[in-house]
This record gives sequence, C-alpha cells and structure tokens, in this order.
Amino acid sequence: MTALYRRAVAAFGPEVPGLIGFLLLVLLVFGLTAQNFLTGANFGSIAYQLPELGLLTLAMLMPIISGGFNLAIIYTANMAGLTLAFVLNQYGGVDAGVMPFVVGTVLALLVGAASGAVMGAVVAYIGAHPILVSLAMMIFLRGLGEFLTRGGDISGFPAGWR
Amino acid sequence: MHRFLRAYPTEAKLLVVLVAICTGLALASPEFLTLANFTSLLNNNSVNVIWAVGLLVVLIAGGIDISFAVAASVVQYLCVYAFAAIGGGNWAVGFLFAGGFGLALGLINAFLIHRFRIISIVVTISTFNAFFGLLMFFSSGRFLYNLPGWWSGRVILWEHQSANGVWSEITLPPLVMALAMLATWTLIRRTTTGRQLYAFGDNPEGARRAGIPIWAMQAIAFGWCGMMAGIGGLMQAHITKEVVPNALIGRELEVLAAVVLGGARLGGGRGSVLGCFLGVALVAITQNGLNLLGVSPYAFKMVVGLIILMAISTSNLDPAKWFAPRKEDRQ
Repeated sequence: MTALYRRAVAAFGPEVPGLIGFLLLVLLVFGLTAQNFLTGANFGSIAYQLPELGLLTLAMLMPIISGGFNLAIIYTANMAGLTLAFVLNQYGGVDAGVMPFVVGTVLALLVGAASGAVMGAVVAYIGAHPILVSLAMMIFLRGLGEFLTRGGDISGFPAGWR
Repeated sequence: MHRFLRAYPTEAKLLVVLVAICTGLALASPEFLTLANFTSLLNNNSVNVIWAVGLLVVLIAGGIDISFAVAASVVQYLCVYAFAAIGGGNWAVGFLFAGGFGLALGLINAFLIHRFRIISIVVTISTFNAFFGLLMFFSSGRFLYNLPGWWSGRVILWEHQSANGVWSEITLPPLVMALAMLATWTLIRRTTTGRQLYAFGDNPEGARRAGIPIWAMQAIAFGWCGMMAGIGGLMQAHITKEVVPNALIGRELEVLAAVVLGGARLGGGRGSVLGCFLGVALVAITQNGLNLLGVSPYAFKMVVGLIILMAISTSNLDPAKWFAPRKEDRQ
C-alpha cells in the first residue's frame, strides 16, 4: 500500500493522491446517503455540466504555473462565445452551415488569445501586477460585452449546435 | 514639488489626470461644475471610500481581501436581526454593532491566514464563498425592508437651494467617510503600529526579525478592513433603505481597482488615504462625466475598465524624474 502510494506521488505529485482519496470519500458518503447518486442519469448530468469548468481550470492553470494570475478568464470566455454567436447570427442564424461555424470558432479562439496576449504583454513589458492587469481587463471585457449586447442575450443557433 | 512627487508619485499623477478630466468636463457640460452634482457625487461614493480605506490597510500590510463586500452584506443582515433583538437601537449602537460584526469577520480571515499560513487571496476567496453561502442559506435570499426608522431615515447635515431652485445637500455618509479617512490616516501615519504595518508589508521576514508581532499585524489589518466593511455596509443600507443579500457582490473588485489606482501596491508597503480618495474619485467622476455627456450607460464599464487598464499600464513610469533638479542645481 505504501509502495503504491509512493508510486502515485512520484507519478502525479504530492497533492493528487490526497485529492483522489477525498473524491472517493465523497463518492462513498453520497453513494450511501443519497439513493439516486450512483446512477447513470446523475453522472450523465455531471458530465454534461463539468467540461466547461474543466476547460476554464486549464485556462487558469497556465498563468498560475508561470507565477501569475488571471481574474479575467470568465469574461474572456464570454467574449469568445459572443464572437461565435455574432458570426453565426450574421451568416444565417438558425440556418447557418458548417463554414460560419468554423470561421466563428477560429475568430473566437483568436479573440480569447488576443485578450490574453494583451494582458501578457502588459505584465511582461511594463511590469504591472498580473492580478491588477487581469482585474482591469475583466472590468473592460465585462463592459465590452454589456456594450455590444446591450445586456441582452443572443439566440437563434443551428439545431445541431444546441 | 519634487519632494511631494517623489513621496507620492502615483497620487500626484492621479491628481493631474483628475484636474484634466474635470477641466474637460467643465468645458463640455454645464451640469458638471454645479454644487448639486458635486454633493451628489460625494453622497453616492462615500461608501466606496470607506471600504477603500479599510482595504488600503490590508494592502499596506502586504495582503489582499476579496471578501469584504460580502462581509458587509453579512453585517447588514446581522445588524437587522440584532437591532430587532435589542428592540430598536440608535446610531451609536448601530456603529458599535456594525463595526463589531465586521471586525469579527475580518479576524476570521486574519486567523486563517496566520494560523494555517495560507496566502490571503486564497483565504479571502474561500471566505467570500463561505460568507455568501451561509448568508444565502440563513436569509433564504430574502430582501429586508423593515429597517428601524433611525437607520433608514435621511440625515441631512447641510442643505442649500441655489438660485434656480435645485437643492444640494450633504447627508450622513460623507461625514462618516471623512471620519473613516481621518481614523485610517491617524492609524497608518501617526502611530507606531502604522509604521510597523508598512514595514511588515514591505518585508515580512525583516519585520519578524525586528520583533514585530506578525499575528498582531494580520489581525489589525484584516480587522480594520472588516470594521470598515461593516460601517460601509451600515451606510449602504442607510442610503438604499433596504438589505439585499447579493447587492454588494462585485463591489470589492471595483474598490480594489480604485485603491490600486491610488498608489497602493499589491505586495505591500505603499499606499495612502489621499490616494484612496483620488482613486475612487477618478472612477466616480469618469462615470459621472460619461453620463452628463450622454454616452450610452452600456458603455460605462467598458470605458472605466479601459481607463483602469491604461492607468495600471502607465503606473511604472516615474514622473518624479521629469521634475528632478538638474545636476548643476544639486551642489
């Protein structure tokens, strides 16, 4: 058991075995106390909800690994989503084909990368604190989103995408 | 001039920018330079300044506090129930309770940070969620309107009717703001504890070796921030005449941005009360100006974000160098 634990620490780092243990404990407790916890439908619903959080976690991982911080990831993701939505609405809305989707996705990735690159440049070349730069960027992107959408929502996407 | 610029580079720059913006607005809008506009700006932004000076002390001590706005909401609910329990209360009791509850919530942060050696941003993000979760659970998200009469009633300290019939008035929050600024200035500039806070923020290990009690520094910084959060919460409920559980969420980042604009440094050891006031004033006057110029309100946040981004990006330029005495003058 200790050999297994040591090998796990060597493979994943010191925090991961503890986290896995905690996850198993949570599964055990809820599995015993809540009747419909250990069902396919429940895990299907979790699997439907969590990828977004997982992707955002990966987004936050990079700045933290390099000793920084990024408060703006949610609103960056929001702007990228808006970009794709604008493109889809511009080229057909409900009837949009594959090409607008591809172009919109590429533009969305570019928008996300560009807002990140601006923050990175300010942090690297001017030496401002990452928390502050991303805080300012967060306020700006939230405002930009409000400005572009007038606080409303954008709907009307192709059926396969919903 | 040179000495002021060297001691307060950010504050001086901010003052120049503010004067420029005010001059521009005064020329562009006849409404801007009126007594009524000035007093309404003061009345509506004093809560932000109260929070800003509280947060300033934490930033000076090298920490950061994300949880104080939610803590202010918690204090508002606790105050409503506490005043009901003691059968009414008055302003003296109100400040005592709000300050006390806020202080206690701040000390929870200080305890977690000091006892478990966790960095303050992680602790306060956790307490932000814990405070908000507990508040939502116990309040069930209910709004409260039945505040005691002394709390929700308007207190007009000074009023004046101008020739065209427009009333200008100063209410209670600006007075509380002035007292909070004075108290914070006294703490950080006129006491040994204040010097120790700057020292601790600038170099914690050096401060520890010089015999400064670390736990006391954390307790004073986060306790002060919590107390100001509570008093700000009391004032906010006084202005809006209601208590709403999620009304103050998001304000902490706006206040943080304003304090940092005013020259406080993440990482500690720098910052001033004047800077806090100017930082809040810059954001407030910008929004006020956009409003008076008839810009769409949907664009406000975008412009404010852009201004903060520009201010932070240029904050490492050093204007003291431009006014430095020339070499031949120095002899």
